[in-house]
Amino acid sequence: MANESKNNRLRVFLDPLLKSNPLFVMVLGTCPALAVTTSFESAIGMGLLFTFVLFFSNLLISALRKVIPEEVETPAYIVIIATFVTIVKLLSETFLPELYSTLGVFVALLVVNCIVLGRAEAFANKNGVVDSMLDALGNGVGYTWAIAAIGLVREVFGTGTLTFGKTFTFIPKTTIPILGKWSGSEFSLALPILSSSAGGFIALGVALAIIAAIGNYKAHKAKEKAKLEKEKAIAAAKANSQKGAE
Amino acid sequence: MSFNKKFLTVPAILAAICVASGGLIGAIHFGTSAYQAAHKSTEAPKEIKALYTDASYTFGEVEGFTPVSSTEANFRVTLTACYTVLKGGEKVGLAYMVDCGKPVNTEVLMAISYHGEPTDTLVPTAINLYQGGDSGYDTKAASVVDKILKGDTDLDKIDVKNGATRSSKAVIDGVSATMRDYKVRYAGGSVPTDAFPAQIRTMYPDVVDAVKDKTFTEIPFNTAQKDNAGSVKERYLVTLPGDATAYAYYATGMASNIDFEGTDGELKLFFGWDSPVGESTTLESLRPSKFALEESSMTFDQWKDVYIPGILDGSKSLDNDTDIKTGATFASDIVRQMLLIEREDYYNVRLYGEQLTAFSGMFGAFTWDKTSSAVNKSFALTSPNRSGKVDEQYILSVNNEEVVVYHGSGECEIWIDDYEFHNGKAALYMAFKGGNAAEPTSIAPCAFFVSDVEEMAFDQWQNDYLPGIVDGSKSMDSKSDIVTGATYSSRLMQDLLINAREAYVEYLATK
Amino acid sequence: MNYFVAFILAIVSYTVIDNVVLSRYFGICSFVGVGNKVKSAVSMGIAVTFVILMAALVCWPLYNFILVPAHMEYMETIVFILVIASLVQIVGYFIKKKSPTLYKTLGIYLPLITTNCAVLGVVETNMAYDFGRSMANALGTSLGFTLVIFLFACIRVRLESSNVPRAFKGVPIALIVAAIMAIVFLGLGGMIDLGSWGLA
Repeated sequence: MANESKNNRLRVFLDPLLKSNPLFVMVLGTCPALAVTTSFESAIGMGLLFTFVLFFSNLLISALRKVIPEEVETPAYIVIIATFVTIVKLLSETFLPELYSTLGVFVALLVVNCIVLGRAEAFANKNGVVDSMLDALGNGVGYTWAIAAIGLVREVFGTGTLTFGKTFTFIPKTTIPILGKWSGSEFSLALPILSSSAGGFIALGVALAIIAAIGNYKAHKAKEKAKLEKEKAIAAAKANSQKGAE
Repeated sequence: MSFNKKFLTVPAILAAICVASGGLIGAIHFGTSAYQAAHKSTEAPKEIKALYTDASYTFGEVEGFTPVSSTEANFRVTLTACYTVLKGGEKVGLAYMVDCGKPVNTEVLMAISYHGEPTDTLVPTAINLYQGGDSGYDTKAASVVDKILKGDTDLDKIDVKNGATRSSKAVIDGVSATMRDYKVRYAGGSVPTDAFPAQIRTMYPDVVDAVKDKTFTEIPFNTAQKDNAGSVKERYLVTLPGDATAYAYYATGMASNIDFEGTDGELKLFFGWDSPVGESTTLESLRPSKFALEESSMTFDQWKDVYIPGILDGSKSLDNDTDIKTGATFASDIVRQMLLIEREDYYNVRLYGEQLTAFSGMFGAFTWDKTSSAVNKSFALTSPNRSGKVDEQYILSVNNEEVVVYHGSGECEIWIDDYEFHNGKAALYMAFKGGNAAEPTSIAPCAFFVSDVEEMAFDQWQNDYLPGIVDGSKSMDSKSDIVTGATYSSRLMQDLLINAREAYVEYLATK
Repeated sequence: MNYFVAFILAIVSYTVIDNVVLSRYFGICSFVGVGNKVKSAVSMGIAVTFVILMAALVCWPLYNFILVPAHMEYMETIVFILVIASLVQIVGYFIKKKSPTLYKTLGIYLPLITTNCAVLGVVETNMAYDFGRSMANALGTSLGFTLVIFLFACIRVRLESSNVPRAFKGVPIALIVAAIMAIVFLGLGGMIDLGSWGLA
């Protein structure tokens, strides 16, 4: 029994990382995913702030789930989420000012992030505090790696370099040239369109297509497997009935 | 839960959540503000550091500096930070961070530094412009910066017409504000907050604004002691509450041997003139009403304690030779000469301000005996409705040639885009010279100056028709030449010109 | 007169040149999720327009006349989102009363407007502007949103009947189409010389 619940807990944390990834599978929280992913570092920063907000709001909402009456659920959740968004705004303004100025208005827009509100209504108000925390962490990490991946692709293929230390200033600023303009090469292999607004759409579209393709492939494989099993079962049944007939 | 209870508890819980969250936010806000205040860097910001490539310059705080805002010629400028520039530990100058306002969508921020003693020809040592966001006009504003750095410090005359006009004006405003501040602050004085000299506010405490008159040229004077002892340098138009105006003059003068040791003394003085001037006012009856001192290095003070008060209250007269014998005679003489010039200029500018502006606008240099004669030409026509008159004639001498200028004004109906007629008004000066009275149609004006325009929707009459008349490409007798666009207004101009020419022909006939 | 023209130009610029969805990345969730029904897309656009305009009208004075003088600027997020949520409720209530059919067409989209980044995004960016510019921003954003969502729905109708690779079916191809639209709108930049109007 204890094992099962532990397994369940693990599931709660692991699912959003891959299987029910908030960005790639559920297609939620797309606004920041396109806006702040022009750079790898700012994508990670956004993921960090997002996780913070999600974690604490999940925690509080789950803790108060028996107290908040149904009629005022939505405004109450909004107030709680907005509180933590404001807190994260104040904290990042003070301690991570470069990140704050890079992300700009999208920090405040975390309050209308579909994922935060979604997890609150779908999970946190039905489950215990520990589970909600795990769910928050899982979604947070899942979302972070998803937008970080898009950010990585957009920055590497869009500008040809990877820059660290611009947003998180405690890292010394290093620029790693990856595509083009390195060791005397004259031309750059970068595709600047990926850094523009259109590029965001392209990146996310392709990413989702890839995920869909993988899903299709898996489904196809599963179908094949099921078909095989079915034929096996029919053959076995036939053989059995033949045997029986003999 | 019973229905009644629900009404209480539900909002109560929501309210409790709101209060709790408000409290939490307030606490965090308090904490972060405290942290920010405690960790505020006293180091000079990187923009100031970026002014110098030489690392031997260091920066220090300026004691007691608070941001100071002033309304400059175009925008409101704020000096947000000020640092002492030190080289090898020695103070060499000051550096400022300036917010030059928001001329277009983005702010223009400037880091600027000055070195050395503030002189009249002070040139900034370095200027860096930072514009929030990309306005694309960086290079144009930067060229203004280059001009300033190369020594073109006559800020009034820098050409900003070439694009990025507003940003360039903001830059100029920033430079003039810092220059003014530096001149005071370098020596440790207290900081001016007006864009005009503080003495004007001393004379008129409730001054609304004071603008230096850019067309005023320095007028030198001689004293009994020496020639070119000084000059009246600047004239300011002072706007007072209730639309009243006054004029303030700034003058300097020097005298030698002011005391037994034979020292030289200098005076730098402001005077305010605001008495009304009408047709019947005499020069002798005019006197200044306010006085403020900028600087004096005279040994004796009777010029200030006896002479000036006497002039202000009328007990002494500028035209009386003995009145300057106050003790400190040389100094009083300087004051007298200053005031004589200021008095005449004030009289002229009050009585003839408009005419002087018009004549200098048309001809530059001219002489005029300040007389005018009345002219009685008027017209009122009905299609389209227009009426006007030519009422004054002035005779000038320009380059030893006689030029007769007529003043005319009129109004006409004009049709504007919202399908309405309304009256536009204009007044202008028309100048004629030479010409054969026997052939009136060969006479055309040689210059014009528009002195007043009211509600004229289009300006081809001013920018197209009138210049065409003056350069000969259009004829005031031709019906087709008025079709320039702004046809109704051009018709008004045509009628005014024809009437003025009639008056001129009559004048020529009397010579 | 100058101010009026500048106002119109600001609206045009916010609608087309700096489009809310394709350039500023607001409102993507609803944009992608609107599907291929042109009618519901237009209704969504109209509803969002209502909410944005009213939110801008209410929030700008709220910020400038209450929060700023009280030095409570940091409360803006909470205040704004509460105002928006209430406005959505009110708008929903009125639509339900006045036109139940419209209410049905909008369906779930109406409460979803609360989480539409465009509304909060407009209100947040309006903090820095003066009143005229903030209203131009609101008008331009709502027009731009409606325009794009309408175009998008029309395109998606066509997409339904075309041969899209399986992996791209649905959301991915929609995003690629959006990318192409973004590129098209990019070309409109520089159409108006905004700098000379004091807008750049």
